[in-house]
Amino acid sequence: MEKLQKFDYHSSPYHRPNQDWVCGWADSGQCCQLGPDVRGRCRVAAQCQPLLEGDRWQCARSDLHGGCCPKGPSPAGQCGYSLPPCRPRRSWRSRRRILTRWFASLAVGLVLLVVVSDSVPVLFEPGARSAAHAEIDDCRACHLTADFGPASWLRAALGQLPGRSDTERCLDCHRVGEAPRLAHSVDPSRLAPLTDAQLGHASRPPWNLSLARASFPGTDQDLACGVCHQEHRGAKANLEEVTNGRCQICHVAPFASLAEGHPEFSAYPAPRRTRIQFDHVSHFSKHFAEDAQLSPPATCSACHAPDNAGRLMLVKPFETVCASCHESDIAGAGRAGARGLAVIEVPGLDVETLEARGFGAGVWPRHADAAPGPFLRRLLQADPAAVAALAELGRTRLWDLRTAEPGQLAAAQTLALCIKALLQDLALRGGLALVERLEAQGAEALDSARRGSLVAMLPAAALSEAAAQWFPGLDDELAAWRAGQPLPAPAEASSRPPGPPAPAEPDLFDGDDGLLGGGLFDGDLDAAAPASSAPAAAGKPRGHSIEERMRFGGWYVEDLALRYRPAGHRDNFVRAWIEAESGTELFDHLTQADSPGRCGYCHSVDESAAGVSVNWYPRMPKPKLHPFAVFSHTAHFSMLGDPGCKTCHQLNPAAPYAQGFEDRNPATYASNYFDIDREVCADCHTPELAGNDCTLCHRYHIGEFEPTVPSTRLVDFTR
Amino acid sequence: MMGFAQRRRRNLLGLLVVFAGLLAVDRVYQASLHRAEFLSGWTLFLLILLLGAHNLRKRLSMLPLGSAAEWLQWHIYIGFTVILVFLLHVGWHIPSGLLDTALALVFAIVAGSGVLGLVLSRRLPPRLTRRGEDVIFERIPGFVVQLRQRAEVLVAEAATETGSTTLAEHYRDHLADFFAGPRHIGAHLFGSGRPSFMLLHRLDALARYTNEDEREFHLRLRALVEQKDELDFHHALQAALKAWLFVHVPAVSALLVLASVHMLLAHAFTGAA
Repeated sequence: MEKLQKFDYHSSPYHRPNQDWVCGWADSGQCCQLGPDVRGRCRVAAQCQPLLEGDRWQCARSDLHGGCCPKGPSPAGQCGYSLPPCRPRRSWRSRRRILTRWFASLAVGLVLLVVVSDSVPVLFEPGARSAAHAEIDDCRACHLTADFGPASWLRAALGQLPGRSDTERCLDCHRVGEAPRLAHSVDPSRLAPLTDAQLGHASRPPWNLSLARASFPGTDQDLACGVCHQEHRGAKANLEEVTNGRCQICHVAPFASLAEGHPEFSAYPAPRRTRIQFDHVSHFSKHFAEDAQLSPPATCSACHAPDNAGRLMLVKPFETVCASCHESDIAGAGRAGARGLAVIEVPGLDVETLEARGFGAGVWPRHADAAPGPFLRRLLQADPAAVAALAELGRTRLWDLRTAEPGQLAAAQTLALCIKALLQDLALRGGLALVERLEAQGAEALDSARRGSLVAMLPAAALSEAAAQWFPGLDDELAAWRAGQPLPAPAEASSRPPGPPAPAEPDLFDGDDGLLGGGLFDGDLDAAAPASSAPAAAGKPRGHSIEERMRFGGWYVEDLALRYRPAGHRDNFVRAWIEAESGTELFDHLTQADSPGRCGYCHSVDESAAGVSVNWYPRMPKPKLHPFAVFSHTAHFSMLGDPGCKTCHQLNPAAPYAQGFEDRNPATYASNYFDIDREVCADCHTPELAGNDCTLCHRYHIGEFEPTVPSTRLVDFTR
Repeated sequence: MMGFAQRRRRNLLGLLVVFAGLLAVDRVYQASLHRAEFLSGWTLFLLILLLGAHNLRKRLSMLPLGSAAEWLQWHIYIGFTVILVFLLHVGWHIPSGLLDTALALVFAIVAGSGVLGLVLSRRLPPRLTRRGEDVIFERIPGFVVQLRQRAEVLVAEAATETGSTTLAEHYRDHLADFFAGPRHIGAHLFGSGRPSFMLLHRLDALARYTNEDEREFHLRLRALVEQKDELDFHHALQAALKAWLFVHVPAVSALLVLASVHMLLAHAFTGAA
């Protein structure tokens, strides 16, 4: 077979493939010798370009085209064999170059088209926003650069644009504490002790983390939101997704996983004592076991239920889990002493000594023997004279003043008259007097709800009647005292012993037994009525005792005291006084375990730098609180199996649970349950099973954050 | 002197080491509080520029910067490295933004055409040397014309000398188009001989209808068909060796433009964090 390709000079045309243009006859195998010029124009009109040798023109036709022609050039030096001009075509190389320029131009054109159009956000957005930010259609909401436009992108890239940074724009909507750009959104001083605690912790972090820490140490300062939260990764992207390495880059003791190197749990899950004192051990082993009639709970879920978020196991309401056994305690059942709180109780006074030594205080119930109670002392605080008298008296017993100094006798006299003035004030002005006395000492005015709770419909009429019984001639005595005149002799004021009001006194409540609260007075006091009224009382049927009649709570007068009997659990009066008198003697009195109402029997008292407070509720979810560690109970229910709650919560019968409530420090505490070991969680929380990423259990931004609320103006509704 | 296989093993091993190193750096950077995308992005861009320098090197052949073959080797291995860096850069996900998607698509075209070019340049030359005559690609159209002319002269001569138009009719009906230009490109690329087999089979079947005078012409025509088929084979394979560059090189230009815009945007919209 004859070879087609010849490589010798005489029989092989040159196609000039490296030039932009090639001869149009090349495809026919007859390309010219010269080839097109650089602009693609054919330069050849004849088969050869004759050469002038001396004075003769010689044919220069190549061998490829037949060699020298017999005819030869014309005398003018022109080839006699013309060639039709070709249409040069571009070489492959040139075509490729042109295509390259077209591609580049197309790309530049498209970019410019987008820049000058209004479609920059749509076309240049690096990816769909997450679902949470999908509604934001203005780049300026998040990006400073968008305020300036494409002309400033280069300056923006160099960080030279003035204005509010992107992070500040994030914080317009997201509240993550007062120090959002600091590590964990908290002051470094709070983290310092935690850091110190981990300094000695031996750990073996993953190699990449070790290298990263050595190469790019983390910082706890000026962290932009975008460092961790990376947007434009699609609608389903998780903005809170952070690698474990990033979580630990700043930590002094990074570790490999929950199972390997994670610090042991410390007092988990109970970092403090329970707010409600409930001894699981004694209830399980004693109370529930010994008294089956109480139909004790059979399962944990009888008393506990998950919150709406499924995280905390809440204690069910008192009425559901406690009332069957403890409601009668609150009502005072089985109580040896008075079942009501002595709000106003006439204290005992050594009247004889006072009168004998010239410090008479007028009429005083002779069988009064109580010490000034905390309520009385608190109400007297608004009276400077009483305060001075109490200070002078100190621990002096009012009912035995035989050895008292004259100054103490004078103080006792003043105090007695102040008590009478208090009674008169309360009798005449009722709750208003009580509130004014509280507000005189308080830093702030009480709102109407708290006033109502503190007064609890104080029966001024009953108090007036009681005052008249206890202190006949009260008004005269006080008038004389205030006028600086000698008090009327007891015989002048009233020759009777303390009893019902003297007939001469105006009976403001005549014919209004209900308002008087006729039932408020104890039968014993009725029995102390004058003999003249005895025949009428003799035919009167005797009812229950006054305390029994007030079993559902309220005010009543018993002997020489105006008492308030709590109306059951969540009694507003008791709670209002406890809250109003935080940290005072009265607070201590009301929060004693055996005080009427027995609030302190179950509700623990916490004392901190912020003050003293009663834990009215067990642990409750706090929507604003972002704790460092989070746990979802409900997420684990399905995998507990037969052991159920015992899988994690193991009872510790030896724990001195009750001792934890002997002081007011919630941190001194021994749980009824053993702390949960890290291994319990690490059994399942491996990369292969339940996952063990840091953010599965921990939050980065910690603290209590207020949610962002729109600042919509009301006037905008009418525009 | 190191052989090709040995050199390839060495280079592949080196490539694996580089891959491992890049993955390690990425993991380390991911663990830091820095944006790993910027590291991988700048690495990617610089490597693409380096790959583009291969084309520049060919134009500056006067400079002593190593042989074109060495540059090509580097181009190939850096190209594979760039693919890995790209995957690290996009986080092994397909981007969702329009610009980023376009950029990723162009990159995929560049990378894909590059890999295709590598495969073609490894697979086709041995096939070219195994079959037919070595011909310069630019001259193939001329050779096709030569063969067509020879065939046409041959069948005309056969009709004249034998008085039979059998071969001429066959040429008109079945071979004229075949000789008109390069044919069966796809079949030759994929190594299929079916179209040429069919042509020859049909031509061979014609032999029973020819007389002895025609038979010699028939054999010569058959030889021309075979020669034309080999020419088509060379045309198809050499065209493929050049055609992939018509995708690869232009796409690189678009890639550089889009990548530059992408980088500017990335820095502009994170510069004020």
